[in-house]
Formats: sequence, C-alpha cells, structure tokens
Amino acid sequence: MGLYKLFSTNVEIQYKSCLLSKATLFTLITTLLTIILPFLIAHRSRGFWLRTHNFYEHPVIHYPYEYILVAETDDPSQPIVCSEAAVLNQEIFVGEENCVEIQAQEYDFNDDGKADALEFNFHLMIPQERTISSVIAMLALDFQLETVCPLHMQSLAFIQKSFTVPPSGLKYYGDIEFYQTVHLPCLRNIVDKKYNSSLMSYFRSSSENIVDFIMVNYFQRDITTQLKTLYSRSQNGHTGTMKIDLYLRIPEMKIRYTPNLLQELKWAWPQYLSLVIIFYWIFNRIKMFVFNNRLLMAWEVVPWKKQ
Amino acid sequence: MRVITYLGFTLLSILIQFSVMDYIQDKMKLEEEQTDLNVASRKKRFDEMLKSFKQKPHALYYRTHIDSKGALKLTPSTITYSNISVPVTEISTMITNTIIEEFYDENTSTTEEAFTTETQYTTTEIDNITEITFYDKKNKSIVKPDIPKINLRSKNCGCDLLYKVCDISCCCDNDCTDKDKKLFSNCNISNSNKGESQYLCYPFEISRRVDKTDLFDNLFCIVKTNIPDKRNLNYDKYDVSAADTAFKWHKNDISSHTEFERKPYAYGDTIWVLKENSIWYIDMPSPTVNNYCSGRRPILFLKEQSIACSVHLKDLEMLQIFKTSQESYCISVTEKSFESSALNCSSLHCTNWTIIICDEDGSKCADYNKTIHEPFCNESYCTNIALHLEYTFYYYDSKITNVTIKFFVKNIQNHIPFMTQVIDVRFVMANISIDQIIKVSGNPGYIYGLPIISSTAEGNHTINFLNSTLTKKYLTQINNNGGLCVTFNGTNNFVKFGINKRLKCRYFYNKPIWSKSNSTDVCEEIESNIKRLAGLSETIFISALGNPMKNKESDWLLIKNNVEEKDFTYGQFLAKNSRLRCYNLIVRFSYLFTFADVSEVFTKREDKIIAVKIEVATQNVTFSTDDVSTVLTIDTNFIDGTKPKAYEYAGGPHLNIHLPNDFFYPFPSNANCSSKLSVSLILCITIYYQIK
Repeated sequence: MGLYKLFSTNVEIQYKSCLLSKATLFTLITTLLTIILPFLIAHRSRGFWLRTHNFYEHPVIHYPYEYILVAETDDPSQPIVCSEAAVLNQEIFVGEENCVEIQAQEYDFNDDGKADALEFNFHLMIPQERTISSVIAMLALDFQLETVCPLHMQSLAFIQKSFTVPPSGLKYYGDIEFYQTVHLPCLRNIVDKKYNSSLMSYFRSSSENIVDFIMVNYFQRDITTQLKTLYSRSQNGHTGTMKIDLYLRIPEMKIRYTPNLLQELKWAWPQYLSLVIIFYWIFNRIKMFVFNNRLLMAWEVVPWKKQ
Repeated sequence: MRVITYLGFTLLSILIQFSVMDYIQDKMKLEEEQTDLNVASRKKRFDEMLKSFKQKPHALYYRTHIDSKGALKLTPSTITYSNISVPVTEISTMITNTIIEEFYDENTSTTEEAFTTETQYTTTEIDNITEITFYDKKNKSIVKPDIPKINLRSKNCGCDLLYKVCDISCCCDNDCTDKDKKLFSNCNISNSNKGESQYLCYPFEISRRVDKTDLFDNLFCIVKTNIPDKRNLNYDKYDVSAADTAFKWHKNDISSHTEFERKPYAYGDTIWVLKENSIWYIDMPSPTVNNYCSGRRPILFLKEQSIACSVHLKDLEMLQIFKTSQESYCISVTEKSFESSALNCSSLHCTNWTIIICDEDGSKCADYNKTIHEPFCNESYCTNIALHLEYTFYYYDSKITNVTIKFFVKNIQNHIPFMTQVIDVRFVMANISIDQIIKVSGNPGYIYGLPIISSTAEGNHTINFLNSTLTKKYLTQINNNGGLCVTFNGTNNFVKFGINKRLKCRYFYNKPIWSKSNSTDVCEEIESNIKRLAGLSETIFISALGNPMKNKESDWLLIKNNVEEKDFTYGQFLAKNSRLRCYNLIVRFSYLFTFADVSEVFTKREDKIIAVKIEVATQNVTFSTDDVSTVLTIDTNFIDGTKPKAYEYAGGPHLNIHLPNDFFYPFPSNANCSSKLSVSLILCITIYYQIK
C-alpha cells in the first residue's frame, strides 16, 4: 500500500543579526521595497483611485401642476399665455380663456409606483385674425433619485417649437434625460436638496421677461433635466384652434457621482494586493539567496541544531 | 468514551428517523392546516387593504373555500379522495352536488382568475374538483355542468357596459345572443375550440393596465406552440424554396375593398348602399399622411370609429352626405335575398337614411328640413355647418334596421381657412334608440376615460339611473365654447374618470350691474349665478363604481364642497361708480376625486371612487362697466389612493415534530414527572460515563 502526502509544513530557519548591520539594512530596504514598489506601479499605471463612478436608476418623476405655456402669435402684443406659476402671479394676462383646456396624466405601465410617462394636452383657442408662430412650454417636474445618491430637485421640461406656416396642432414625443455638468457629491443617507426649489416660484427682481429669466436661472444649474426630442410633428392649416400633445417618456437614467473613500479603497485594494504578492515572492527569493549563500553576515538558527 | 459516542450516534439516528416518519405521517393533516393559515393571512391582508374603504371584501373569493371546506367536513374520508374504491354513498353525492353548485354557478369567474394568480389554497380547491369528476364518472345520475353554458363571466364582465343591450365585441355579455356573438371576430376562438379557450389568460379584458410579461403571471398562458423540429436535418445543397422565404417586392396590392357578396353582414364587412340599381359601399373621410381629410375609408360593420381631420369648407362631409342620403338606401342581405337574383329593394332589405339636425351641444334635435337647415354663407359667417357628425347604425334581427346621421350644426367664421371635422360611427345592436340605452362606465370599477355617473335624486339612485326618462346621468362640468362658459348635458362636458384637466372660460354677467344700488347685492348675485352654472347649488351624488347596479346605496357619494367655509362676499363701487370690485368672489373650482383599486386579483383593475369633493377658491375681482366678466378655472384631479402592494411573506412551515407516544416505552411520555425522570436519568448516565 503506497503512502500519500496528506499534509506538509515548513521548518523555519531564522537568520539573526544585530540592529546596526548590513544584513538588517538589507532586510529593511527589501521590506520597504515590497511595500512601496507595488503601490508605485499600481499608481503610475493610472486608474488606481476611483475618481468617478456611475449607476443607472429609474427616477421618480411627478408633475407638480406648475406650467407656463406661451404661444406667440404673429402679433407680439397678443400672445396666448397659459400658466400656473407663482412667478407670474403679479402679472395680468388678457385672454386667459384662450387656454381652453389642459390635461396632465402620469402613466405607470408596470405598476412599480414610478411614473413611466407623462402626457400633457393643451387645447388653445386662437384669437380672431391671429395665427400661432411659436410655442414655448415649460413644465415643472419633481425629480427624485432614491437609491445610490438620494437627490430631490425641481426641474423643468423645456420645449420650444417655431412654425413657418400657421399650425393647428403639435405632437411631440420625447424622453426626459438627466443632464449634469458636475459629478453628484453622493452622500449616503443625506438627500441632496440643493435645487429643491421650484423655478416657477423664484423671486424676480430683474426686468427681463419671465421666459428668459427662468431659462437663465435653469441654465446656471449644475444638474438639470432636459428633453430629447424623438419625434415631433406640427399640423399645418389654421383652424382657429390648436392642440398641443406632449408625450414624455421617463427612461432609466445614467448618473455620475464621486465615490466615497471606502469605495475608493475597495477599488484600490485588489490592485495593490495583486502586485504585493508578486513582489513579496520576488524579494523573498532574493533574501533566501543572500542569506543561504552567506553574502551578508547573519547567525543561522536551525531548530535541530543546538546553539 | 467510545461506548458513549456510539450510544450518542444511535440515539441521534433513532431520533431523526422517528421525527421524520412522524412528519411524513402527519403531512396531510399539516397541509390542511397550512391552507387554513393562508386563507386567514390573505383575508387579513385584504381586510387591512380595504380598511380605509369601510367595505367588506368581495365575498365570493372566500366563500368558495369556506363552503367547500364546510361541506368537506361532513365526511371524514374527504381529505383523501384519491382512492377509486371509495364507495359512492348518499353522503358523497350530496357533497359533490354542493361543491359543484358552489363552484360553477357562483364562483367560477373567481377561480379562473385564481389560475393566473399565485394563491396556494386554490390548488386544493382544484384538486377537490378533479377528484369530484371521478365520482362523476361513476355516478351517472350527477351531471357535471357544462362550463360554457353557464356564463362564467357574467358577474364580472368588464366590457358589459350597455344596460340590457348587447355590447359589440363583448363575448361575456349576457345580453348578446349566440347569433350576435358569431358576428364578433374575437369570440369565435372560444366557440370553435372550447377546450383551448380556458387556457387563454383574460383574452378580452378591458383594462388600461398594459400587459406585463411577468414569468409567473403568464406561467400557464400558452401563447404559441411552434417548437422547431431540430432533428430534421436538411442535407440539400440548394434551397429551392428560397424565393418563397426571401424578402422581395410585394406583388399583392393590399387593398381590402371587397366586392359585394350575397351574404349577411359579418364583423368588419363594408356596409353597402343601393344607388340607382347598383351597389356601392359607404365611406367617410380620413386623414392619411397629414391632418387633412384627404383619404377615404369604408365604414365597416360593427367597427366603431371616430375620425377628426381638417378640411376646407368646400370639402365638408356634410355636403356629401346630403347628396348620398337622397339617392341611396342602406341595404342588408336577408334570407329573402337568396331566392331572387335581382338586386333591388324587393329582394334586399333597404333602409332609408334619417338625418337629424342638432345644436352644437346635442340639444334641440329636429329632422332635417331643407328650407330651415340648408347651410349657407355670407361674407363673414357660415350658418348651419356641421363640423361634428355621427352615424348610428341600428342592427337588429340580422339586418340594419335604421341608419341615423346626426349633424351637430353651428355657425362658423368665414375667414378661417380650415376647420376640424369630427365623424363618429356607432353601432347599436338593439331596436331602441341610442339615446334610450343606458351606458355604464365600467363593470364594476370605472374604466379610464368614461364619464362619472351621477344622480341628483334624493334616494334610490340606482333605480333612478336605470329610469331612462331621466336625462342627466353623468356628472357635468362647465365647458369652454368659443371662450364662453357654457354648461349643457353633452359628451364634451362630462367629467371623465382618470383625466386630470384644467379648464378656463370667461363668464359674462348679462344684466346691467347698476340696476341694484347695493354693490354687495350685485356681487352676491354674480356669485350665485356662477355657483348655479357650476352646479354647486344642487345636491349631486356620484356612483362609486362604474356600474351603479353593483352599488349599495351607501356607495352613492355626496359631492361635498367648501363653499360654506369661504369668506363673506361683498362689493364696492370704485371710481365714481364706473367700476365694481367684488371681494371673495368664487372663480376657481377644483374637483378632487380619490379612487382606489379594490380588485382582488392582480391582473385587473377595479377602480372605485372613495371620496369626492369640490373645493372653491376666491379672488377679488374688479369689473368695469362695459365688461362684467371674469375668467373661471375648473380643475379636475383624480388621485390614486391605492396603497402600494405590500407583499406579506408566509411564515416558516410549522413543523409539528414530536416523538411517538411509545418512544420512551418504559417511561410513558404522557406522565409529566416520569418524562422528566427519564431525561434526567439519561443525563445522569451520560455524566457518569464521561467522568469515568
């Protein structure tokens, strides 16, 4: 019956020397190199620290029933203004009855409690002898991220369309997109409410018009939502009325953020460790060669030999 | 030590063996208990969900189970049916009868739904029923009810919206005869293949929820069985039939305009007219690539359509119809037509066109009279122009009995080059006028986009609703007609379920405001006029369910408002009586509906309104002498109060593991002291050996 190797263990041979000696210096240098060299290589080869990271999330978007729709007619003195915005409350508009009807629907197709699409229908009555030349719609959105980077902000869906011939309708199909000029700070358990104030309720001190005012203020934000036009079509032929149907989908959105220290360390650790193992092995071999061949002066302690 | 180890192992193995055997023996009993638990927990969950509605859950679901369980309790052998040699005794026949009646007559619709949901306890029910069919085969005296004959869905038929009138393409509608159902294309599947139809998961369900492709929801739903036969290898080097499978220029002109055939109308057929002894089909304008009514499409039998497109005045459809209706008859092929070869009104059933001219709002209808209703234009206006017209085909006794075309006429301005015309095509499978047919808004829960049912009666609202003489059945709002606030009982004014909207219009006060010396009186009168226009002055109840027949009297909800809470209205003349300022005048109305899905199954919604109120908001308004008008805002909000689905996980299995009675034979386990004694004895022995 043959014998099988079931287990093996090493016999430790110790090399001893006093503190101030060449051997100690050599050991110190090799140990430091084992620690430092892998770090240098990992760092120099780029991507050691995780500077940016991203995730995908389907945000919670609600319509807070705030809107401004400006339908410019060929006569600038007679625009059709439909609005529900605190910023416009002091203003007096003539012909409010021209905004005959506004419908707003949120659709949740998959019943996950998050709206998947928003639909807006405006029905306008065009004043006599006027035709519509352009339409600007600003719809307020209540935007929330819930998973990785909690965020709550009031954003806008901004649609602008000009018509070369008098229209009777506009159909617009687009996706709401998350647009950021900087990384989200992404602090755990702290909801970022930097922009959680509605643009429609800003205090307006400047003399510029409301549309420009909101546009400029929104432009200055780091984090916004914007609309990606997928399809849009205008119906020609002046019929005295105009129907504007806006259909906005809410897709999954990609969000960039700055990772925290722990996440950076978690990312750096495997890179460092994989190099350390190689260097440790190499320097061990070198040390073994140096001490075995007595290139440096050291006492050898062998367990089975009595000193 | 070794002895103790062996002893320990032996003891452990015996323990495991006994406990496992015990568990297996008790399995049947355990399962029964498990179902009980599930029912209780599920019921508890629904009770919690519905607590806010203060309404008992739909009892049908539980009753099946409780009843069948109660019936099963009569005999001790009912837990295990599987033995075929079970004697067919009097008791068992009685049980089967009970169960069959309970199961098929009342609750089959719920059990069908249960097939697709994940409920555990229904499987036990199904098991029971399967076993019962074994009895059935043996005992010929018990006849198992034929499933299709009893209308399973009659109690929960989502598309049955017309009261006592057959709904088009609604296969579960009891008002439709078998002959009617044969006309519908979608019902043929169930008629031709009864066996397969039961596997189709809610084939004709009307639900605004989009179908989910959830693995478990559609687990038993066989959509297609086209498994490719992979074993059949093809060694031919050339594919001769490549031309058949490759994409190429189409050779068939895809036009579905059919030739006239001597056969009765079927679903989707073109409708034929007889004009100067030749046969034509009737069509209507339709938009093709843009919004202009540039194309024409045939009106198809039983296909309800609604088309809106823009036209020039000269292309208006109403002008075409006047011509057609005078020259032609709408025909239907009857049995008489097969006997004669001639194509005229003696062999075919001919129907005249009935043209009715109505006001824009649908009120004041009269038969068309050329002298009064002829459209004409002057320089600035055109009168009697119908931009909205409605075809109604009455189909009864296998033929079209009447064709009515309603023109909703109004005056339009001449300078607008285009106008939008709307054409509706409707079919009624009854011998009564469409105006007399009562239409509900869902069965039983509301369907998105259908009007809210209301009642102004003091009591007995459901009976009042069914009373067809009463015209106002649906909740109406103020509407904007050319900028002005109007109210009439038309489709445009109905409050439609689920549609959040804001409406603005201008209200004009017609009387001179200076007729009264007191400014507060004027303001109060203006306000009371606005309130009357908005319908705040009358008591209105609305139906909580789309089908008021399913309502209890308490399900008629009174529309509450906060008019009483608002500040006192008063007025003031300004600038030497040239202006009037009214303080706290009502200018905004906000309708708030809260609804919730009270459905017991996940595949279908049953929206029920649980609360409704009108909130008014006031403003200080200044009127000038020449223009006593203000803009009214009417908001409608539908808020979904359905609580998010909370998943409740069943607790871990209750394993009733215990040792058999005679396990500690010398020390009987029922004696408390002796069991303790035996345990301590074993302990003592173990310790003793350990020390040793």
